[in-house]
Amino acid sequence: MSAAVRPEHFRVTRRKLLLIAAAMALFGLAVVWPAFELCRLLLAADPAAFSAARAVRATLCAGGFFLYAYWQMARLALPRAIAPGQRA
Amino acid sequence: MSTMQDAVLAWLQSHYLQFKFAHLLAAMIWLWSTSVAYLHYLLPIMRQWQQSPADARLIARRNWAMERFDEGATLEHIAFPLLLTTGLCLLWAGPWGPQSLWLALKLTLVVLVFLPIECCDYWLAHGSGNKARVRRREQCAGAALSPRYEAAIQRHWWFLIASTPAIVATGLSVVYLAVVKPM
Repeated sequence: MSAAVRPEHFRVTRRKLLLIAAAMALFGLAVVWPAFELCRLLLAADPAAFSAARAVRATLCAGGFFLYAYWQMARLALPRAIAPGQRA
Repeated sequence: MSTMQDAVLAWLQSHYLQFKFAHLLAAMIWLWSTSVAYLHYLLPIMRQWQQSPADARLIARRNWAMERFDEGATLEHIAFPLLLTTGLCLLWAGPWGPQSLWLALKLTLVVLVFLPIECCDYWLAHGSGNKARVRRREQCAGAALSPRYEAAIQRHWWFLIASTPAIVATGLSVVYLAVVKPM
């Protein structure tokens, strides 16, 4: 193996995936949701924009996305044992 | 100037459905054109390599797959600007405007999620992150790799893993908003 090949950099751990999933969920909650609510407030003059009920719903959605993102990334990238002859 | 704008607007309005066709076609190409290569070629090859990271044959195959994937993203990256351009034309000429909440939410997702992801993707696949270009520049071949080449592959791999759930969730949301127009 060439010295340049660094498999450790590709090593996908549950901890790394949890961190990435948490960062993305936080982005949804801190950036995307306020932008949505701003649209509702400015364009639809929605009195319920930024309400507590919507904040709770957004938090639940972010939690759901966190679980989904972690599951999806783990399914795609966590190394798993491949038996000889089995499809990777 | 106003007459010119009016003429362009009238032309766009008379071709609204043709622009909608191009927009939908670009959306389909953009969303799905790399999915088979990603799920059934690149991922299995990466998984095999992770089982035996020292295997020169698997390293060479991994590098080949990543370089081909860069080329494979070309269709997606032609479709994306077409999608944005036709979307803007539809916005200008069509009956829907920012007052339609579904459209405002859809555009919010496009600006906050798709644009940053696609900028990274363009850079990784066609800019200085392009693996074939790095290999040619570093004059390495097969399993004899430079650290720069390895870093380019590593960056792209992490990008693909992290962007997949974001693209799936927001892509489906945008298609739902565009088709159902719930608000």
